Amino acid sequence: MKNIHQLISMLFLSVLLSGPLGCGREYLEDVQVLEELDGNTFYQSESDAIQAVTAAYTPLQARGLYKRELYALQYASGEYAITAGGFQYSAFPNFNFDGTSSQVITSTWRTCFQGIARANAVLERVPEIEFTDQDLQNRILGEAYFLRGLYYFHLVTLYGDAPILDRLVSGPEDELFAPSRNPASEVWAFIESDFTQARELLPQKGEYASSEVGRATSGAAQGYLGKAFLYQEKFAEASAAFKSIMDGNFGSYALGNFEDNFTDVNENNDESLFEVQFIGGIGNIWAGDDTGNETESTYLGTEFGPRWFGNAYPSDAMNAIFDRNPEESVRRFFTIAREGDSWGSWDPVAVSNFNARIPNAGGSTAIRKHNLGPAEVRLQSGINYRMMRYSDVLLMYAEAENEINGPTQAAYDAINQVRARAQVSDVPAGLSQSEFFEAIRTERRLEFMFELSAYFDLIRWGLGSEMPGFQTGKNELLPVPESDVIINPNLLPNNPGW
Amino acid sequence: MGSTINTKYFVSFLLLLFCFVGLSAQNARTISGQVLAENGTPLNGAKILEVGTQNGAFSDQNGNFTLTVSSNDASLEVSFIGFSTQTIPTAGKSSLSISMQESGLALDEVVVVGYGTQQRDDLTGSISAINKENLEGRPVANFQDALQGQVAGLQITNSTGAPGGGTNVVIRGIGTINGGSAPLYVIDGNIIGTSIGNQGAAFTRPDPLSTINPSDIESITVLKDASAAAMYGARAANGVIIITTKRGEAGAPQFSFNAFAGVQNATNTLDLLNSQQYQQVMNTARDNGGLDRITSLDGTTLTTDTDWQDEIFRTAAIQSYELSASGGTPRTKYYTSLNYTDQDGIIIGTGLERVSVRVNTDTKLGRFKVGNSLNISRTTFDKESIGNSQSILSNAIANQPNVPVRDPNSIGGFAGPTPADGEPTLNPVAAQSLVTNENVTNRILATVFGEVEIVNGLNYRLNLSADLISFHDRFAAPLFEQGGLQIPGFEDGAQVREARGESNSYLIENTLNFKRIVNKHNIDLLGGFTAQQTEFENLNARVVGQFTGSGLPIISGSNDIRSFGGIVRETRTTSIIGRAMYDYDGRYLATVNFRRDGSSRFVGDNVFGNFWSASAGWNIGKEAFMENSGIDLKVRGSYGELGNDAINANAARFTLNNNATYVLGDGQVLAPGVGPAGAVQNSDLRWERQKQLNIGLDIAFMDRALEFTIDYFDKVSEDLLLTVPVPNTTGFNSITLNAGEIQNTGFEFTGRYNVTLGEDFNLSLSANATILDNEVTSLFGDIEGIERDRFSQLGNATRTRIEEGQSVGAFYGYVVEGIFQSQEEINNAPDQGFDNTAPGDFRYKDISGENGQPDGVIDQFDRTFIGNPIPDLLYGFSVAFDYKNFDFSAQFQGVAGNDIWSETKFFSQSYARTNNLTTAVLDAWTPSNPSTTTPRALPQTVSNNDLISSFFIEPGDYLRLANLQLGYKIPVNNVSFMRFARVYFAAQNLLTFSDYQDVGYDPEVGTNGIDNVVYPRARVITGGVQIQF
Repeated sequence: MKNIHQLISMLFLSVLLSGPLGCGREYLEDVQVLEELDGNTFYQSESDAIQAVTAAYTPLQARGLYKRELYALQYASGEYAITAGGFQYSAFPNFNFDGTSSQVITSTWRTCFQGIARANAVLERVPEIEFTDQDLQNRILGEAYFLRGLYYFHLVTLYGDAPILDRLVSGPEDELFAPSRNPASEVWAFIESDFTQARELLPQKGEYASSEVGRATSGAAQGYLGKAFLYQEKFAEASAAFKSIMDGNFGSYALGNFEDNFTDVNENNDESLFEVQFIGGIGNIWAGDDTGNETESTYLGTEFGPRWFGNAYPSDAMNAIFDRNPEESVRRFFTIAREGDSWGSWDPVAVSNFNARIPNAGGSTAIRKHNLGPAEVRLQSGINYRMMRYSDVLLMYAEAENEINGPTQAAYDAINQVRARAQVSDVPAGLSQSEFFEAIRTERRLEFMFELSAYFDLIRWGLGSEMPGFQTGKNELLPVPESDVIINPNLLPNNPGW
Repeated sequence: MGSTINTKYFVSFLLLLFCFVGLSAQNARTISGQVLAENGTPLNGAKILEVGTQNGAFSDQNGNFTLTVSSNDASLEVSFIGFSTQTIPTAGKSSLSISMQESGLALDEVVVVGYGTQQRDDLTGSISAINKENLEGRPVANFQDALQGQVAGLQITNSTGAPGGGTNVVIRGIGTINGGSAPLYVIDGNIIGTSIGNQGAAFTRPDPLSTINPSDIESITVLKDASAAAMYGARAANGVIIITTKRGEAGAPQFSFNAFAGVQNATNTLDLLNSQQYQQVMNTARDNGGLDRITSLDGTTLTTDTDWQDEIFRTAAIQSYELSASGGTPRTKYYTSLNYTDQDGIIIGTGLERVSVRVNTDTKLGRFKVGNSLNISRTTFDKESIGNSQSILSNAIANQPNVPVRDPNSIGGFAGPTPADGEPTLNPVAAQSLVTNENVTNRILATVFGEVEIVNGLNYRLNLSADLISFHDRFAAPLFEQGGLQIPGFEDGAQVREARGESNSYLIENTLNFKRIVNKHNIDLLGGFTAQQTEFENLNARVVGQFTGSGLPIISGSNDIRSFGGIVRETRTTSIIGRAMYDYDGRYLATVNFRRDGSSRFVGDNVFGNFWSASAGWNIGKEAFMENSGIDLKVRGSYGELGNDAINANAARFTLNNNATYVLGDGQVLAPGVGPAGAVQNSDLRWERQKQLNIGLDIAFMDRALEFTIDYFDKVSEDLLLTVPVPNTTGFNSITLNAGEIQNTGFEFTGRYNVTLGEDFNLSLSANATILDNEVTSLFGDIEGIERDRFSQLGNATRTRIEEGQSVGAFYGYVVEGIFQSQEEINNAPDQGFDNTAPGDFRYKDISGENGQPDGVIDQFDRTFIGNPIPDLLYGFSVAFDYKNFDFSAQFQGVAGNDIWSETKFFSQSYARTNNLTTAVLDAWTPSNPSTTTPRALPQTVSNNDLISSFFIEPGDYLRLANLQLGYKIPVNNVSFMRFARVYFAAQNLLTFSDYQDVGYDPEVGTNGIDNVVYPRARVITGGVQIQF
């Protein structure tokens, strides 16, 4: 019926066209393309604004970041040992990668900028929307500032200098269409500004409705602001920022059970400042990001854990760290599975599949952190990735404090709080500043093994050469992806050594 | 209301045209008459000329004419294409009935052009026509296969050899990139759609033209230059192919039965390693790479030796049957046919089955004429059952020879590599046997037209066409394992994926045509308005588990829905068309075309585009001084502009992704998100314009027994529409730009010689050749190059680059200048940018550096142009003769000067994963075998021999015996009910001469020159019978 109607209107149209040339514009513009929303007309209502800012979170959950590829850095950091199954990551152990063949380098870069564009869309369009609830508008803008700062934090720590885009690119003639890179110092200033604005605009932990839990809080903004200070070695500002969190100015944070941080229960708990949200059991595991069909889960557990792909197992060095700290029964047990461990209904070492997948495992150990063991469903892990935990705030505080004032009691208290939770003894009293720094280094290893910490820590400390194959003067930064340099040569020169 | 406007419309045009009509308004003596064929059919458009004057007229639909002659004893010269010209005295008569005798020559003297027909002698544009004689008797399921090599300037390549698989047709070189370079297809006035499904990888999508029965085709006209194609301006930049189907002729019913059946085989297979060789090569490679050996290759004698090619290839049957009937009265004529074609593929589990019905009718009543073309078809494509983007054939060559095919203990009954054998690889026999992947397409191609002769010479025509496609894609896989293990790409177990949709197009054309002869001035004017609307809608879903693998392999077989979606996409175009053709005495010819097009794909000021063209010709052969020379000679030239709007319906707009779902809340529910992704807005996007100059020469000798045509063309595509990746820093993926300019220049030659040698022996020779030069002449803004064609097997590295001065799609990469023979050579050579380079590895050439000079380091600046996918030369030639009742023809076709990027070579010579390899690697470099061409054995992941390099480029030249036929006409003089009978033997792709067959399956790999191990073409050998009664 509809077709007949259209046919008749076309008949009329073709007759009407006999008027002056140029008629028919309306007929042409009346076309229906129900495939994608129009960016010029979309941003109208409060709910549009909410959906716009929600979209700015999703790159965190994309392959280029916490769904999958960022974890490849743990091969480089020497935490993961590679198996035959992990052949697609074989360039990462020993820093053998280059800017051409590594998917990780290209897709992480791309994913961060996609998040930045989505945050910019919010910051550009949402102020024009009329809100009845002013707090909501502020919150949405605060989330966008936080997320933009967070993506730039990833960029500057991974790639160094990066182009600053503070608005959407409008077309091919826009000067930001093919920008050059801003120096890292400018990027850091931009990040500080974003986190500061976010902190002022965002609600505290606990102030969100339960259906909104997972969105950025002022505590998350403050935590990342402190981390940005720490990475720039602005220790006084960092110390003050973390202290403010510990003082409860951003809601009450506390340490819970260590293992609760790596399961699909107890998510968004009191220890958590910010998490990437995942859910298992939905969508197609092979579909691309943002296609509407993709899974909302992370590959972390199944790809690098012992079941299913088994692309990695704990390196000897990681096992040795725990061997040197025999007291660590809790953190060892929930970080590395070893022969004889109980793991629900499943002893991973006894399963022949495990050995078959990890033929070079040597001591037969497996990564337990972020893995559900026998309950793990292939590529459908719903475990939220805890990007910043309160124990990190405490340890970063202790580190900053130690840098300014040496191992003060406040620094001791912070580190010992973390150790007490892990059911291990306090750090020995009376350490020198450098000994205390060593204690923090060890503590961060034990606490954050396989949590994307060592790679960044060692580089910011100037200790990158502790990672196997690390070339000082080169591997502090990843290369800007060659495919991007080819499209936009303004990004050159590339990073030192690349 | 419609009729009121209609009236206005006619009046305004009539006013314009009456001035021409008025020219003949003074009279002395009027003669009327009717021109009929021998069988009584009125001839429309016969030319009646008063002898000795330039005064003439055309007959109308009913063969009637009136002409005012200057004297009582005037004679009339009556001519009509295909009939002998007569001179008739008129003395004493005012009414004539003229019966015309068929001349036997000349059906091909009439050429179907856009919105009408033209005499070949009067053509000024570059047009090639192929009639049914050149198409018949070929064992092909789609007509493009039969066209291959027969038309100069036309490049036809199968992007896959699968039955009904995609075919690329390029006219005069690639002048556009985005739209895929396909020409516009017009079937009986119906501009048809080209989308019949969207599921699966591009190389498995069926060809929409394979729904057409080739033996329904009367003629195919290829409009190549701007003048010829201008009437289809909006979308004619890639040329136009007009297909005219058979129509009835008045007379007793005539039945025709055609059938053929035969067998098909692969034309070539690769020489892959057997198990022992594989074991030896892989162990060497793993040892060289410092990797552990593959567990199962422990040096013992391997008992399994699977020939995976043999397992998936088969000798496949093809059969086709057709019955047609035609006939009619002088008033109403009909042609109807029924066709059934069943073609199995040469890879197991593939094929095509088609049933089609055609009914074409023409009815005349006084000044009115109505008619229709109706084709209804149902085509089932049984496609290869892939689980990922790789072809089934690439899985076959990748599988290890030491892995058996079957394992009765495994679910589904098939074996596969165990972890001890290496990387998991899909068992292609399992996939082809257990998985269903089919497309069913129902298509109605319908055209209805009505024509009225308003006054003598002035006709109004209304043409309504519809192309209604409904398609159904269905992919159903049961739960199966390979040797008890999960299979890559089939992790979800039993599943069903279905997509149903429609792709419809409606076309309406109003045209007014005025023909007049005034003295020797022949005038033919055409004006009109057209509008076309296309709609694509689909709905797709994928479910897994439950009963999908057991008893209900349909969407409702499971409520575990993993994805669903659907879109509606409309496009609209409107056009105003105008054409004026003029000739003086058939000697001086001129045509002017104008077209104004509007397209919904553009926005703002760029919605409309104006296109025009002009052409002129001089029939020197008709000049008095050439009389009796036996030589026909015509020179012609044309210049004009054509347009192209073949871009995504939303390309100019800023669109958002509404699938940016995130997880939120204590309950972890999906929260909808909407954000930028995809395309950067470009509201300046304009029509792609193509400007083409054509200069042609037609010369014929010996009363056209020997004919030559030469054309020179210079085709410049400006404002090239191209979707290019944008800098990732924008947060978007791509932008559609008017990206630059491409120039195609070249020459086309066609020659034909028909000779009768003795009473029973006729010989016919023909040849054609196209010399082509394709070059990108400028790029948008300060873009230096656009790199494309990423290779997923190698970190998505790009393989082609669009750059000024190069061919479109030219291959780009590193140059292998040899193989390192010693560590000393490595130490003295440019830094290869790879720490583990050792003797036996490729030595890449240091070409440039960051500062434009060789810098002793191999990096991205050392990539250069390493090959060109576009042939310099396309050619075809054929020889045909008949002797008494026997006939023989052989048609060859070839290309030269092009290169192939061989993924087959990558899969079979690069030690990728644990894939099998070809015997070429047995010559790998070793200290004792210092090869200079084959690198040492080394797994690809730890090798630097896998850069995108000249190693993967192979020459693509080939010559093929495309078609061979031997027929015998059975004498039927004594059989009362039979008028004609012929039996024949025919072979398609019987012989192929190409060096590429040492490396890959077939040198014909699609227009982009990238051999992605697709389904190879088959050699088809058939026997057939044609009977008329």
